[in-house]
Amino acid sequence: MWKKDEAEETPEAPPRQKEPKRSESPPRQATIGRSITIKGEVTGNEDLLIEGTVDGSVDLREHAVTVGKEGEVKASIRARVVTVEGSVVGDLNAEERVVLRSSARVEGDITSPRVVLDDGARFRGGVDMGGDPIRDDNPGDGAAQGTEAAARKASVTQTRNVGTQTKDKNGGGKGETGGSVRTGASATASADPRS
Amino acid sequence: MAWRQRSAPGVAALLDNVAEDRSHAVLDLGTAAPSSLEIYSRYGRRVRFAEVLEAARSPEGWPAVLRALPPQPEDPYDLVFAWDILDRLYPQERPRLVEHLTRITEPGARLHAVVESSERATTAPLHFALADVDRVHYRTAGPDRPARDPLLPAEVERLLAPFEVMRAFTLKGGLREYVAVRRKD
Repeated sequence: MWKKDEAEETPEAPPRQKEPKRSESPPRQATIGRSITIKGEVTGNEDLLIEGTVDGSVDLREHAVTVGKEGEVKASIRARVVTVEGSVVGDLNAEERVVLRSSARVEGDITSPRVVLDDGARFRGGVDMGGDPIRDDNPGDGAAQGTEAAARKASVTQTRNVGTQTKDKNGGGKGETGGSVRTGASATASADPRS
Repeated sequence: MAWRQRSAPGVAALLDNVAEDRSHAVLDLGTAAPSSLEIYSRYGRRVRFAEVLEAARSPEGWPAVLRALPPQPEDPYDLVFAWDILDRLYPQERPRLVEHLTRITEPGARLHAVVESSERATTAPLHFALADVDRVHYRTAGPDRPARDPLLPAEVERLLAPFEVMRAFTLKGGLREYVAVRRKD
């Protein structure tokens, strides 16, 4: 087994992580409308929907930032959750997760423990899902580290295609398209392939 | 365009004995796909999609490719996927790409390449995505275009000289998979 760090064992993944419960009251959300252009640093203490243009940086670490379909952002975004439906040129840093919807166009690096990529989303850049490699080379401290890493791994969800078979255009094997089954895992795939 | 799926023995060979411990850095020269990201994340917490094929199709050509390629990282890439890219570049650009890959990897890094090896006059570029550790999704990524000089097996081995081709698989339809390991400097 080729293991880069010469780890001896891979611990079994614990049960899937549950989504933490959020407050029942709807969060406050500010909106940058379509006709608004902001150049500079955006900070604040509430969620933000960007439908306009932002050129600079967005820092709402405790909150959610959504770049709507009409939104155009040339800025780094730091938030708890970042959801992109529009266009972003810049780095995305989310404490909880980054979601790129099918209409998203993103060029930049993503740093987040969870990354959700919908089919059709265009993304060029790097993804760093953080954490340490899963290892168990120290039965004492290492076990805890491995368990934590495995828990992160298990928190990833995946959608797997099952169903209709199609004939390979090039005369190859059969292919499958359609339906989906959700299983546990850090990168989240949704829709065909697709996952 | 609809995705299709086919077996990919080369991917299976590449990932054989690679620990799913997230210790590896993964570079996909193609387009980001959800299923690819999910599978890559089992092997590495650091994944990069370069969209080189898109860059190669731009009127700017090689300079755009160079911009799309990642710079030399602090941690070199361990797994590199180059699907339907080498054959889409002009012959003079191919060794430059391999040279760049050599710079951003270290000995022992594994490379998986899919190359159109038929001598058809026109071929449609293909987008690939991992469906599983031994299967790929694929679909055409645009209209048929005049083929570059075909890359025959011996030429691929010469081109990939910094890497040792360990396995090769001929697929129906004129595609060929190569599994290569970066040689020592």
